[in-house]
Amino acid sequence: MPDTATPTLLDPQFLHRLEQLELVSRKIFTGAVKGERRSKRKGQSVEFADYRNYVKGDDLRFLDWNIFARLDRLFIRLFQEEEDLHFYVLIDNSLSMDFGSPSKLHYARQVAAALAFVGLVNMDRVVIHAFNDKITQSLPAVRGRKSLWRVLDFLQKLETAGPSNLRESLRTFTMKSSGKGIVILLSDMMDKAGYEDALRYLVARQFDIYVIQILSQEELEPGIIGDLKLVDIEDEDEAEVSVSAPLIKRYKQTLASYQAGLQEFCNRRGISYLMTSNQMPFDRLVLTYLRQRGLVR
Amino acid sequence: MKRMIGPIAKHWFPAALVVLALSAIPGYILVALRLVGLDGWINKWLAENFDISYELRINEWAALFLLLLPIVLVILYFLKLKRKPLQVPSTFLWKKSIEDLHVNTLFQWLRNNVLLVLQLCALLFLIYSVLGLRFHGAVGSGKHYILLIDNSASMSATDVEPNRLEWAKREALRAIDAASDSDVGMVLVFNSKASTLQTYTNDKEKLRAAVQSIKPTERPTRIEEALALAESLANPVRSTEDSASQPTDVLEDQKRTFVQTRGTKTQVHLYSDGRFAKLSETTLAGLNARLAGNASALGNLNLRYRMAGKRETPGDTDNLAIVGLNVLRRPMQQDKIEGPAKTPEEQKKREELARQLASLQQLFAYVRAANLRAKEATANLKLDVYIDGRLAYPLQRTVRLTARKFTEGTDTSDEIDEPGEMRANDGRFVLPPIDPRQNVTLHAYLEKVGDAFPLDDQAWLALGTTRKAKILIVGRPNPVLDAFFDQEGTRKIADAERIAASDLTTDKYRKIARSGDADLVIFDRCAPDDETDMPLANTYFIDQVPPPWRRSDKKLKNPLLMPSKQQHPLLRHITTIWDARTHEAFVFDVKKDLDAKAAEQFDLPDGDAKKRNLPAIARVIETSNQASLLFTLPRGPHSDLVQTFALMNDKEELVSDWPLQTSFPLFLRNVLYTLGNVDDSVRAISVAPGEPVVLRPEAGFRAIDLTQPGNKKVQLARGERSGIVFSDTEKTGIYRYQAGDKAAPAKDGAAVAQPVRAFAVNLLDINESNIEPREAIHIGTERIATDEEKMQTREIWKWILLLAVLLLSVEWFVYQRRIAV
Repeated sequence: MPDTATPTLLDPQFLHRLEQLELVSRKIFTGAVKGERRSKRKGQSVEFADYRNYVKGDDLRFLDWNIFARLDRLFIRLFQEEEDLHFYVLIDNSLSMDFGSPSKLHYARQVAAALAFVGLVNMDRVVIHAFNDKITQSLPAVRGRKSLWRVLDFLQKLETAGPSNLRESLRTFTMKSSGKGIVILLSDMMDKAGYEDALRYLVARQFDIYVIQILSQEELEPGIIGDLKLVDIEDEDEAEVSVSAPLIKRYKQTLASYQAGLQEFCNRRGISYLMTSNQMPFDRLVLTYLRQRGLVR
Repeated sequence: MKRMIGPIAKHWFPAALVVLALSAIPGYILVALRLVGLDGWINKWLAENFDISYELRINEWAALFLLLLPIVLVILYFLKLKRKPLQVPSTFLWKKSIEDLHVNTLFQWLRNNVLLVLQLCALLFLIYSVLGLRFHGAVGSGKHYILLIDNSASMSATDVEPNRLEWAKREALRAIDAASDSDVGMVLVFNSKASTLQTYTNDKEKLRAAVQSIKPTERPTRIEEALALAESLANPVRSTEDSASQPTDVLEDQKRTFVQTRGTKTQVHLYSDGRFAKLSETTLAGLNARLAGNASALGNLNLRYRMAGKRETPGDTDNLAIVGLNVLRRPMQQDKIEGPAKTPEEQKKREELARQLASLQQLFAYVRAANLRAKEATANLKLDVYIDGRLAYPLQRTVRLTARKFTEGTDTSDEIDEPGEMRANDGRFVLPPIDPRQNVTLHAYLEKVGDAFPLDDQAWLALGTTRKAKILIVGRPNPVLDAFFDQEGTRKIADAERIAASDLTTDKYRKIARSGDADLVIFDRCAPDDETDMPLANTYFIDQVPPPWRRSDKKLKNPLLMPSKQQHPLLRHITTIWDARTHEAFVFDVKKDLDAKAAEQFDLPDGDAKKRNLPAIARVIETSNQASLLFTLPRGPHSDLVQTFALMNDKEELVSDWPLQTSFPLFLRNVLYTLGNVDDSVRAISVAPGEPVVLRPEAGFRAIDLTQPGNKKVQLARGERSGIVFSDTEKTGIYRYQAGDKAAPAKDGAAVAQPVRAFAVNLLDINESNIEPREAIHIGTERIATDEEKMQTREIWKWILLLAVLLLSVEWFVYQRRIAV
């Protein structure tokens, strides 16, 4: 159900909301050092974090000789790693995202814009990729508030096209992307080939991964009835169904178990997973749910 | 197990299709034969070989369409439905959902196909239902049937659970169920009378309701009326088409062919214990069947007798019954006063005693009991004497009843069935001296016999008190009448008042005449001028005729008196009046002697509202040339007795010697009793349940208060009639009544207590008491044995149609639940 009357990202209402978000994000980051982001990982920097026991193979440069002298034991000094943080936003723009009102893609764009805004404000390197079966469009790394208009412009111009292939797209992404950082995956995750391999690529690169699954209301609560031939918009695959109450029930069970499977997969690998409907106001999503998940503080 | 289920699960669908196709073949053939017009032949063959016939219930085109439907359905099924395409973001989850359901492939497979099988089944049933199949039984289908149910007293016997009537009702309901929808049924119930509870209808609910509404009665059984009712439709005798009504003077070219009416073959289901009196030839001769010339008394009635009750050992029925209760009365014997009195005081005492004794009566009660058991029985026979409603004398006696003698015969005529009896004197009770003016009731009962039919274990008798008649004599002094009415015996039962003929036009007469206070008005050589002055009472005209007739001057000299009807109540006890003579009598002609004004009304054409018909003359005494000398003319509820000769002339000389004969006072007594409504204590009224009783309130009262057994009180109004016909005598027992007119204020300001009178309703019918059911009944020459369950044509198409509808609803249910096709 392509939404013909997709509201533009640049409409005043949206911008107004972003402004609000800005205030909120400012409030969040009051006192924080600009251009820096504390990584969760320990690494090389000047800021001491902790000690741990020396084990074989550790870099001898980090041994604390003073302690060795005092206690005659080997300790490694750990430092808070500081990164030049990359903020990757991956937007699925396959045909299946063109569903719902507002369309899932539009919703994804709004979320992407909001998060990118937060990233820009925090002086992170914001990179946006759109993909279907491959990476179709990319926004090279931008930084600073002044780049917001580029981001919005990029998002505005995104169109749905082609079938999705999550595995292939993310493989390409991992190969192309250089720095570590945060990856936000905005997709409906409806890939017949499965999402597991795709997410494993990201995990392998030690990204801080956030998967936001966007589903339309029609997918969550199908309102269809009767003898139908369901046509997959991406691959023209057909499914003949006679929709009845038990089938709807069964569908919902399948959807729930699919989400549960995805959630479990993500949890096991330290991926933050969030499912959202296109009916949920995106600002609420960003301000409430993403904060709860730790994406924004 | 699994090995067995496997192939079945795999092949059931084709197997079901094959079975369906095979079972469809006969239906298709039958419909096809009907379409080509060969159904008559196939029906005959089916009826002979399978006791089945069919009849297409829809027209040929619709049938053809119906036949094509299954084929169309199969084709459609295999062509599959074209589905509406709908774009979805991903079929991923949908496919997954369907796959989940596909896990149980057998279930899925069944789901895929069960709808087709169900639909085909439903269609098949539909085809067979429109074939209108019916099963034939041994008995041909009776398009008309009558349920004739006996609800007489003996049907209350409890030898079958819960009683015979309930059994009969149950069986009747079954017969209704067995009838086909096109059959029309009627429900008749009979006891001493027959009534139609439901006229012919094919509405089974109405018939059922009629059967359910039958209540037991305590009445005896008479089947004649029921048979007459039943056969009135089956055997019509008169019809405009009947050859008997062929006019004689018809022109040759206008003659029509008249045919004998045919009547309707009717199945009569008689549910009874068969205990009714044998039908006399006279009764049978009155039935239409005989009149129509049938040899059989039943004609078109196909009577099936269903015996109600158990007949285990013939001649042994668990019942003891009182079958007779009578009272004889005698004035008190005065033989106790013996010898001449010695002193004047003693003489005085004796006279006093004699007077007292004279007013007392000696009563003898006779009870007859019957034993229907095959062995001797002993019972405690009790007789309670109630005086003025209080138990005065409880009498009792242990009686022995002989065994019943029973020899079974082939016919009721050679069957010997003598119920056991008591010894002659066992049933005789001598009651203490009782004042006859008291209200005496007797209650005889067999104590605690515990038989199958308790209703006949008791009987009642009421010894009524005399009801005095009020007589008005109008005319000149008549010593002959005075001699009769002034004697002491007559004064006990009648009060006579005399007025002169001149008073006829005054209020003195009119007041009595119009109030209906008098029971009998005697007009001696005079008559009211106008019809409107006729009293609301019976009348006796001597040498005069009632208006609107006029006494004619035509005379008969020395006519001979001859009784017309010996059994006429006015001639009761009169053996002969041949010896009576009269000087002359006037001739009465009911048509010519009419008043000129009234004659016009009688002459009006038929159909006119004012038209009056000539009354039927009931002759009592006539002469040799058949002129009436004494006759009655009906006038509404009253009778006018006309005597065409005088007894005395104006000089008070006898002009007839009849008053000198013994027959004359007897005749006057009969007039008094019959027309004067005298109810004397000699007669004790006892009627069978359901029989009407005529109750006469004392003159001057317009209503009576009646108390039924069980203390149910009713007030009955007399209206314009002299007596009240009371017919609600359903319960056995004593009915008490008392003249009372709540509407009218008591005369002279003081209410005079009216005597309480009573009558008894008793079964007292050995035919009812003999509750042993008869295995066969006899109607005329026909012997009809009790009959087993009969097979009727049963239409089954409705059930098949119902199955089809059920299948369709199952199909709908499955459709609603299914996932994919």
